[in-house]
Amino acid sequence: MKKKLTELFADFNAISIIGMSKNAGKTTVLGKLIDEWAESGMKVGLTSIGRDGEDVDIVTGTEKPRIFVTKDTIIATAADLLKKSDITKEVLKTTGINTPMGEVVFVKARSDGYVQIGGSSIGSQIVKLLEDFKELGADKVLVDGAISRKTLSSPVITDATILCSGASLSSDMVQVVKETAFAAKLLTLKPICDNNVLRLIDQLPDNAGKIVGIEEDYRFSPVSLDNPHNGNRSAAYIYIRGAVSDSFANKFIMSNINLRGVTIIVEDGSKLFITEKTFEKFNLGNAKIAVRRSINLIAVTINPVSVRGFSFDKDAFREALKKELKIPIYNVLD
Amino acid sequence: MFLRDEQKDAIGLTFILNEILPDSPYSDIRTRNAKFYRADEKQELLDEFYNISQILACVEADGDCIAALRRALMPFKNIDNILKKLERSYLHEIEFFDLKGFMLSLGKLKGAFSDANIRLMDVEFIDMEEALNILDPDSKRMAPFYLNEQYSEELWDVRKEKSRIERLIHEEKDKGKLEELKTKRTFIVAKEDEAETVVKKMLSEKLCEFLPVFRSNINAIGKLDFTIQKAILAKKYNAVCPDIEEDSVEFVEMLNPEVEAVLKERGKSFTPISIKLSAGTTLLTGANMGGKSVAVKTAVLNICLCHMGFFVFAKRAKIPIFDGIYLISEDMQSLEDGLSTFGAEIMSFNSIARQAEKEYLFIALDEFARSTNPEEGAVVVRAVSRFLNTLKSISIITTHYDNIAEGNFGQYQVAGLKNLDFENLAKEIENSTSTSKGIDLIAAHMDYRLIPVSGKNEPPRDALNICRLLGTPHQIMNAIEEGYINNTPKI
Repeated sequence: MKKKLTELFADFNAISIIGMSKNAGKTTVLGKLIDEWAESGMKVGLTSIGRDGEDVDIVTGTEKPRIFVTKDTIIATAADLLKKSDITKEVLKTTGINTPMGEVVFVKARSDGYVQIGGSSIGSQIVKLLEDFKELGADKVLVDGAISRKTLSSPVITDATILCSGASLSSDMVQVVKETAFAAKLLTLKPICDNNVLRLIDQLPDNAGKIVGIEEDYRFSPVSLDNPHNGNRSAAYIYIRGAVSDSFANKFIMSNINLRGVTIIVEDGSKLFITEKTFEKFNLGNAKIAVRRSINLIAVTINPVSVRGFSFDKDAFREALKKELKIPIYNVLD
Repeated sequence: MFLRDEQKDAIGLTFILNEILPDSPYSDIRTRNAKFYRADEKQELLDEFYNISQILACVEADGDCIAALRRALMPFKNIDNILKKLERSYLHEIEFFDLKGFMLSLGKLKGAFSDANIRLMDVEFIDMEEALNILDPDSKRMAPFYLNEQYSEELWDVRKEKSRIERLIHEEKDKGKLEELKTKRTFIVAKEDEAETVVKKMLSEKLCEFLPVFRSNINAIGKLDFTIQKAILAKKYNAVCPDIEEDSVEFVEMLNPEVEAVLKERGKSFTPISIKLSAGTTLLTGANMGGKSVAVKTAVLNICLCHMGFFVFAKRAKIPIFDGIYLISEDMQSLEDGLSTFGAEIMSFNSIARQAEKEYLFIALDEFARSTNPEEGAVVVRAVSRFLNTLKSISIITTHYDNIAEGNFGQYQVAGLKNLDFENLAKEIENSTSTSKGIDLIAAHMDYRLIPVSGKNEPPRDALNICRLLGTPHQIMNAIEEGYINNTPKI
């Protein structure tokens, strides 16, 4: 008998679940975890990092599935979304965290039912929510995470992360495997271990700019995309704050910043929105990419069925991914 | 309001208001639209002072009881919008939760208030147990809220049915039957929603009766919070309760906390200011570095604070209740009208002068007409002084123009460098190496106290003395001294 998905997370309290695309099976995974834990008598909490999109997926026309929770689950969601939930609600706590969809509130499900979850997208607020969950008695907290340039938060604030992938990403299985493996690679980039550098980054003032160079002797050096003097000498590290889009990364590579032997530090793997090709360019330029904080990716789930009506061979799909990844792979439909 | 925002900044009122960090959301509203007490509200003002003194006495006796009160004020959330909604519509779970939270917090505050054993005028908390029972039928007195099945039979039945179906769904393996059950559940959910709405309307209607009680309690919370903040401020700066007396303003050793803070940063201290101002005009003259502006702004600040029900920053103070407090100062600009500074001053003065015919005002003119040419300026200041001297209103005018005081005015002069040993200071300056040292030394020896002047007085010669001390070349010095002897500045 195969290990249950929940067993992988026995040692973790806060688990984030992120999807490669819509309909990648994230909702199914959430539902499965809630169900399994509830059955074993655990109190489960559920919230989300921001909300990724609209009720209805514009591309496929499929309704964004609501998450089915069992009785006694505690959810933290925006007030307006609570109205779209059909559980019998008991309001436990208000948070003072305001979103465009109303204040985030803690609600206990007094019955089973469907809920819609939308919370804060600000890291410090999610951290506060996680503390509140603990106080309210939740044994496990699931964070529905969106990877998006718009979210300020990231899976870093949870103890463990699941990546969900599936046939909805592309009709070409090879392509899905490739993209999923690359996403996992970015998420699990190694953290920088030089504590002096980490401390320097922690102390950076808010107005320090997007790119900051750090010299061999731990001094900051000014680096910017359009500074003609960048090329004179190279910094040991270059820290890039916030999201790194593919076009930004390419501008960065094409600029006169000397990248040879440089370690580029990004906040964490979820902040990188670059293609594999761009990633390769950094390697060719002899630059290394490292992260400030690492993400603890524990498993990848796959959904071999696409909402657009086709599906992959589930065993072939799993085997192909297994070759690329060293972490457990789960088929959500099994 | 009597002063514009930039004037509030200039006199140091903004600095004071920013020091107030209320514990509840209700005091905040009160600070922003801080009440200005009028002459016919003297009793309320005295009550407010009484309240502050009661809290101060309590702080002196046992600081912890105020800390407990403040902690009890902190959990309150602003429910104004919920109450407004309750007036015209019905509420939802989260809003009920917030009202329940308010009433639970109120219960704790009420307890802390009676433990503190403070008697305050016009601060009273009305019991809300009856209203709380509406939202807490089990009398658990815990924060969570849900639409209890006990509220209605329909709700009881539909919830029971919902839970039965959900158990069946859990156990059902057959896909077709499962779908059937799920459809059934959808209907029940809709019925539950209907039953809940009926309950929500019923609860809202019941709570509506308590709207005046909610509002009265909110008022009391805000008032208590604000008064505590005023007392904390008074304690911090050793402020005193002013005597509310008609006809004259009198301060003994008053302070301006903002100026004091700035001076402290530079390693200097604030010289307390004592002054008495009676009906009509009082002139304040003295050297340019002498702090005339600070004196006037400090007076305006403390008079304003008194009218807002604050203790004042002085050892002793007598203040009448004015119908208006006005300040015209050099840093006032009228950019929007494109007027010159002088033009703007005159415009403001004209409207104040008209108002002063009907009302009892405090008028402060700081270096009035300084931006126009000195001869005309002096003429204008003298005319304005004479006009204001005919009124019952109290005016203070600072000026560096000499010979204004040829009327029957009150007059003060900044002591300045008058009583100084010039030879010693000159030596000190000579021995110092840095270029700005001279200025610093003069500032250090400047006597900022206000000295009452009676009758005709020698015009101040501080400008001459400053030139001498700062080593102005001999030829120029000689020429200046000659000028003083031959042509004592006259208008």
